[in-house]
Amino acid sequence: MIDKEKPFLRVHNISKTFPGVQALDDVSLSVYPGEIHGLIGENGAGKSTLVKILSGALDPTEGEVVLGDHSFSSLNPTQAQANGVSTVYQEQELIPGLNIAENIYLGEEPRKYNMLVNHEKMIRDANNLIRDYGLERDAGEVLADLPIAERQQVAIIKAAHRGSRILLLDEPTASLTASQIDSLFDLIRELSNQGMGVVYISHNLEEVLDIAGKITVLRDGQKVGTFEKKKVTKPDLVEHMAGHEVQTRGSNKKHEHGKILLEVEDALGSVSFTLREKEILGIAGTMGSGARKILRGISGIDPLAEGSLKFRGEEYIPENVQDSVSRGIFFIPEDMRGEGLVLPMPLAKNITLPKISETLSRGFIDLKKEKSFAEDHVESLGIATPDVDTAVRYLSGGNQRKVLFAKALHADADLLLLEDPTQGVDVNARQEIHELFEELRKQGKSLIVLSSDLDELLDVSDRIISLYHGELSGEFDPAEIDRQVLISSILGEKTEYV
Amino acid sequence: MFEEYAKKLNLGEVGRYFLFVVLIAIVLLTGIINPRFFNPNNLFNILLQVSVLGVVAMGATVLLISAGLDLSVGSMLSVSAYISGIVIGITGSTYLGILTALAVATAIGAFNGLLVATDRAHPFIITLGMMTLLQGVAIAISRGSPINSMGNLFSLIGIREVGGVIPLPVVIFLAITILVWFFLRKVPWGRYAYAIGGNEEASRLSGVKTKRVKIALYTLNGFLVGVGAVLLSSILDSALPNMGNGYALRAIAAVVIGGTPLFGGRGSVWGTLAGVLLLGLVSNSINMLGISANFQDVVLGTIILFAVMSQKY
Ligand SMILES: Nc1ncnc2c1ncn2[C@@H]1O[C@H](COP(=O)(O)OP(=O)(O)OP(=O)(O)O)[C@@H](O)[C@H]1O
Ligand SMILES: [Mg+2]
Repeated sequence: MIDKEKPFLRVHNISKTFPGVQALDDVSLSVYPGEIHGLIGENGAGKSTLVKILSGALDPTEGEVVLGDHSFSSLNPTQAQANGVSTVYQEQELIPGLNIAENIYLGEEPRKYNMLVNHEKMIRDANNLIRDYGLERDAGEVLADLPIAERQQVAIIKAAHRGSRILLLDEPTASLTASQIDSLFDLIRELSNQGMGVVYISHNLEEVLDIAGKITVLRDGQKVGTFEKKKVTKPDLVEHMAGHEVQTRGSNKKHEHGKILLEVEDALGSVSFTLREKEILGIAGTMGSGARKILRGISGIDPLAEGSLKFRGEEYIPENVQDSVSRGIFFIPEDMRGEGLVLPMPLAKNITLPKISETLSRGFIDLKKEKSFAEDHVESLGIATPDVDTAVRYLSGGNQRKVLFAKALHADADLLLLEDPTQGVDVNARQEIHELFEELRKQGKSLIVLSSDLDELLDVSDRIISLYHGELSGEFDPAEIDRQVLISSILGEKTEYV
Repeated sequence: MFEEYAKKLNLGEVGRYFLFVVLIAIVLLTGIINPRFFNPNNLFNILLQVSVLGVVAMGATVLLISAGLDLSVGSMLSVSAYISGIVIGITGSTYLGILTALAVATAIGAFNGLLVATDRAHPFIITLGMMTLLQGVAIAISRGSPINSMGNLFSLIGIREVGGVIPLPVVIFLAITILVWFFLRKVPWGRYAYAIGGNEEASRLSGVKTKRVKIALYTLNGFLVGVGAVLLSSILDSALPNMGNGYALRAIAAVVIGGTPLFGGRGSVWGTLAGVLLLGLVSNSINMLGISANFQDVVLGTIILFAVMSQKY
């Protein structure tokens, strides 16, 4: 039935211009049924823009999209869906208050007497469906009670059930743990066996090399090429993305640390650790390890339920975030769109938000001063933007993340608490951010980095602690251990390698 | 479906354009049919008629930018004007009366802010409750009867003209517009209004004391309603228990016509000023053209719908 020899999705010479930016320039691409097609490129390369065009969220300036036998010079979301394109952003197309079955069958519920919804049948069918795809849940469970990873799987199963032919995944693994990524991949492979074409965007090249058959690289809106997985290596891809050779950072050097800056005692009941000036402490832990709670407690976002803190030797109980910001502590959340950025506000105003007092002259905001502050940070962090008056909504994902760092720099924090600081950031920018850590350290600042990316922790930390179910499960010198040791430690094996 | 048609019709572009065309057409047509329309006196008259709405709408602008809302401003206006009328009646002091109106409205605004900052319910519901409550208070204290004189307030503000031409209420309205513009642009808490409207959680995580800021913004809104109460009672030289009816919705309409979205994060006083003037011009044209008063609301409502539908988010 499905003709595997003929591409289902064809993109012909698509261009997209935004005021001042050529986001896509004459890009063509085909995806065959059952093919998993990786799409990679640096921040701002145009990946999300392409996905938005294919899903009907944006109109291309030029070019056409062919779906099966129909060609379109522009699509709207309804047409895209009717012609077999499904997009899974986070889990936006689902309704949190409904259960799994209701979400999957929304609008086409099985009927009783032609009128009433046949709940029993719906739950039964949905249970069979989700089990087939390896989701171990009861279809009667309310979606809001599921972790993000499983909601995403529900969204994908729903798309498959509706007969979608092309699935667009834009950084789907950004907030998933390793085992969640595995189950996602199983699901994607299963769908591909059934003949679904998949476009898969990620900054994690290992992931892409693992799952994709072909990989298309975009650079500055142009297509560099489409490569067979078997014929490329990771360094090749990195070079294609950047357009030049990229140096990887050398191994960890030993650093001199200063006085004790932060002491955490008995947080969550039993977690104690200290942090010195100019030290980068990595924290490893899976979801539910308690690491997030501790960071949020230190930064005054949520009260620290148990334990005590000392900052610069003084007892310290932050009452609110302002309290910790004024002491020189700044928290950068992982969920940058939900918790980090005010999307409709211009870049400059986002950057100065934590310490607007810096921009005042005679008690009032000095817009010129603010602008020049912001321009300095944009320059030093290499944020790609037309100007600092652009709303951050219009920046690419990676550049948005850099804005968070600009905020911390503006707040002049001495202690930075970072949650997955390079999520959604391209290889080069990731490197730049890691270099920025070193730069910050040189300026005398200390960092606590919480990351689900263990390689990142091993790369940047002077010392790593791991947490498991609210307890310290290990403390390591990253030079002495490898990934495997860390993995077993975050899964609860008590170890010490210092 | 609708989206599809809207996209085809390009309602966004056309609508915005259309609104201007309609506005200019109304002005020209009215002027041609009735040349008295362009008389400076009539123009100042229009401004005078919208001055109270304008002041109230400035408060609504600040709230809507912060993703807030106060539906109780109309009955707040009635209550504070009426109490101020009582005070003037008893003490004979106009200044005490003005202070009373400002104080009562500011206090009610602050109280609304406190309730909203608890996050127990949406501002829509909270201030809807307050609206009903205050309407009841106004009727209870007045026992339904108006106060027919506001003492010297009438000559002090109501009919005073600056330089012999510009009505004082108009000057006050424009001064408030500039102050609110300055507040939103240059005062940190004005900036926080945008930040909270754009993303409350991100603002809190950036160290903005979001609850305090919200309370302050509702308080400011209350103060502006107090100014509106003083203006309206001085212009009418009386205080009525229902004098503020309809202000909340018209103020919000003016703000939204002016381009501030209901969900906040963006907006400007100039947009609101334009919205207020549009409403004023249209009512005036309707009068000048001799269209029956019975049709006024139909025309106004149509224009509001058009303006709002043509907004692009
Ligand atoms: N609505 C918009 N208005 C203006 N410019 C935009 C808009 N959307 C995207 N851009 C610009 O287009 C370019 C491509 O952005 P896009 O989001 O497609 O990048 P990306 O490859 O997905 O990057 P990332 O890896 O950072 O997510 C960027 O320069 C971005 O700033
Ligand atoms: Mg993107």
